[in-house]
Amino acid sequence: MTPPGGRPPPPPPPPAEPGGRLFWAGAAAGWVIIGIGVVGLLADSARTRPLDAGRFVVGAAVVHDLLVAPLVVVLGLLVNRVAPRRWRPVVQGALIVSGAVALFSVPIVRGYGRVSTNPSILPGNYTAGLATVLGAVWATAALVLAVRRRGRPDRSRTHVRQ
Amino acid sequence: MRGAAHLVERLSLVPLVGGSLFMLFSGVANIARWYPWRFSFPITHYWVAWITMGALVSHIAAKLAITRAALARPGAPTPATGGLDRRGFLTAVAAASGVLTLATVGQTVRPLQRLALLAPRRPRTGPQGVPVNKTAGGAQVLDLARSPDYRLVVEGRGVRAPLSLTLDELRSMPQREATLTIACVEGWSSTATWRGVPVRDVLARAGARPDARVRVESLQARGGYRTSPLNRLQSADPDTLLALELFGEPLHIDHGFPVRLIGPNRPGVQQTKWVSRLVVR
Repeated sequence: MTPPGGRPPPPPPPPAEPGGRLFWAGAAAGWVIIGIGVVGLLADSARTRPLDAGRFVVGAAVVHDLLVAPLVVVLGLLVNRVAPRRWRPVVQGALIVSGAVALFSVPIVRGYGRVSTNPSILPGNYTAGLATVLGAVWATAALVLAVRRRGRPDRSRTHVRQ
Repeated sequence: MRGAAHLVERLSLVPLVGGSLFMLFSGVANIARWYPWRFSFPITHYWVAWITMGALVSHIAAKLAITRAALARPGAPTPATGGLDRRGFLTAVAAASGVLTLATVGQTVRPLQRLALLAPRRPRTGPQGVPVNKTAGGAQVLDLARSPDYRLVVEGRGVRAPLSLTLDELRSMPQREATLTIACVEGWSSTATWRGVPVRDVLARAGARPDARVRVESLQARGGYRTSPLNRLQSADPDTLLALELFGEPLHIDHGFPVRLIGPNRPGVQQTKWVSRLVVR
């Protein structure tokens, strides 16, 4: 079985399906912990409103799978189609950071929590703040690209690393 | 058995994805004081955390073999498109966490205050230069707190001589000053100079042990944090105050006028405002 040249054989392919004692032990432990959470949630239903909370847990997963994840995939493909090869990882990285920062900022930019009688809640100008942070993120991305170009002038002509 | 294992693995993805997103979304909304739901945030967040952690344990067990095999292979796979590879993706996730941390941590780390462009609070923005979570109007205590009939009542099993003190009587007791921090679990903090009567002195005057366990009650009729407990160490600490003044002025009503509790090593929500009653165990 050893190929010529005395190289060790390649490691066996990873198992396609989970299984084995470790898997079942972990799954059992995990589901016990999940059970503690579910029982706790149900036992205090006056405060936790399990139907309302469940709506948000399931709703979040549905919005993520049907909307956010496909959008991220399409955006990633678009970058591969449009951006020069050398730019792609940096642009994709900057998009990940920008997306996280933008999603975090939605409630503070929109000011949903503002109360006219309490000036200490959301005191900033978060539209300007978000613009500044995103500007810094993309300036950093441009800097990374510039440094990489200077560091490896031939990089654009080389092909995929193996 | 392969089919069953596969089913269990897939099933645990529902609490994993749904739970993680719930924790992230409700937590981010909470620090922005946005509540587009009907459940009580802290207790629901707590129990969904158990569900999410359990799903994570189950998921790690399911992916352990494949992760080990992938890490044993020399070299990371490079995408043919030239896009982000695995290491690049992890770097981007770390960068996103780092940027968000830098843009918010100034609400508790004063030297980084100028970087806090996305922080929901500023440590010096609020009445008397200290932020407020719940106003007196929001807690519906405006009339009770300003009433001339206000009394601080000290009673309970551990008390030999129950007290009913007016604000003037509290002012005439020996005062103590302490520099203490309001540290909110929502991520902001603010340090201030407080002046008032140590809880232990009031307990002694009521004939209770100065290190008695105490339940502190607010004028608030409702709300999850209208009472807070003091353990023995907290009661006995001379810096645990029934504060009457903040930065040398009478407390602003949004900071708990006439009397608020402030002590070391307590989360912000347990620094009970508009204190009306000490129940001594």
